[in-house]
Amino acid sequence: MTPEAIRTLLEDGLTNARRAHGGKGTRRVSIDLEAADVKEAAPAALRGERSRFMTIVAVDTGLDIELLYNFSVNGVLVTLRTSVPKEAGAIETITPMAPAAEFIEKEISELFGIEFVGHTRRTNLLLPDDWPTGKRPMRKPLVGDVIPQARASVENLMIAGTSIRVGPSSAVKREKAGLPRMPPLASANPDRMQEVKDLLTRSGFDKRAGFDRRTGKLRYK
Amino acid sequence: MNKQAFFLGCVIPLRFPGIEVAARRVFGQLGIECMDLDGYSCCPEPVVLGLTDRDMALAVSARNLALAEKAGADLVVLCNGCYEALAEADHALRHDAPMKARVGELLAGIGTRYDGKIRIKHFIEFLHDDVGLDRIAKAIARPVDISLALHYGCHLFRETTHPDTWRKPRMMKGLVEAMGARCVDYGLEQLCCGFPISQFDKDAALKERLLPKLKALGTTNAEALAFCCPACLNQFETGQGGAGDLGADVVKYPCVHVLELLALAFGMQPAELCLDFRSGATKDFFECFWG
Repeated sequence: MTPEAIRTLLEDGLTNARRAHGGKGTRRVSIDLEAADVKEAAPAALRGERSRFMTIVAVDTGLDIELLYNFSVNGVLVTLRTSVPKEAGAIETITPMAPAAEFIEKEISELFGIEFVGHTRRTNLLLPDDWPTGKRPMRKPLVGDVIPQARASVENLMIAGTSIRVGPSSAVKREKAGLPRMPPLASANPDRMQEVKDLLTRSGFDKRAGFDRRTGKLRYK
Repeated sequence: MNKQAFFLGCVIPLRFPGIEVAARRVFGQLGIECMDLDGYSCCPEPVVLGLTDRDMALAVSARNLALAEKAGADLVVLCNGCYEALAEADHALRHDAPMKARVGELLAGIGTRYDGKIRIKHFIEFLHDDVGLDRIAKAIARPVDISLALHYGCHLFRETTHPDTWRKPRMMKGLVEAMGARCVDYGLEQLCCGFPISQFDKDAALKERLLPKLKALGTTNAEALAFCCPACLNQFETGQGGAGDLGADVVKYPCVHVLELLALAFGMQPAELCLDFRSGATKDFFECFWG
């Protein structure tokens, strides 16, 4: 099976799968996946004749734990890359289809605090048995790229399309000055505001900044 | 020639609406139609937001430029920071082909595009070059017979194509002198007001930026300070109290925006400028000279 055939197989089978950066070369395939799709993607990667699970690499990106599931498929390195938000902290185990993942999942669980749902091993592999559950040696604090001084401005931009807050006091000031309560900003027009939000999302900034549109806030203080 | 559209930014319409009132009055009195740019967003602010994520910043700027282009209007920008963000984005989109392609794709995703067919002008540049000092001088009803120290603001020195970084600051001086004011030199005109630093360290902003300027100003006969940047004006107006708290013996200067001065010189009354939220020194100054 060629790298391209493997890529096509995975992409065709998984609607949210997309080609990842990296994975270049004739013997590399790299695919980005939603965390929920890993359970389906792993069997697909193991479907080939000379396929085997290799390992999982965990990377703490600040906001998420990135997991790189590596498979050898007919001599080609296939990497399935996904991210688990630190707040969620859980992903399904792949041990039923790849028993060799048992140790590495447990190791990641102990060091990074990710729960592999369905994993059956209860005892610790690396850490002492009395190690506190809330303390994970390789896990960094939940923090994104936006520096503390910029966080209020970023949230304002995401919510209202302005760097400073559009509050009631602004409307009062404007009224006193004989101006309309709202300037012709995007936030005065729902369609225009949606356009700004769509642009910010499309640019990838929501994700890079760690902004949660449901709460209207950054995921970290 | 394109029409003109105001780019008001965030700080002027939300914090200093009196400056917006002044701008509308000045342009109206000069017979210049300047439309509103409906649906604009933050420029975005070039220091904190602009440095946070360049791709995002350029995309947001480009959308604002695209709004103006769609309306067939050149932008007259009322804020130094907005001017820098928009002018730099325009420059990048004209000269950086990969960036243009990337931003073009993002704009296409929201159903718009930017082809670089408009001009972005700081209001100082527009009044100086497009309107002309003679025309402005003729419209002066009450000359500004005051000694003024100018704070240009760092972003006014920003040039994307012109080699002379003093081009726009000189225009500001010319504009103020055309109103009848005497400009007072104090030697630290180019020193930042400290606003960007204040986002990180308020004390350092006062000690290392505002205080040296205030001390230098104290050796002159300046009666007030004139600005063309709302963030700098805000930093001076609110920061002077803080500089005093540091134990420094400094004068609290009235802080006025060039557009406010022009509006008053054109015959507007201080009461029309929404001064309720300004410092006591500024309000007293306006009342004393124009009340």
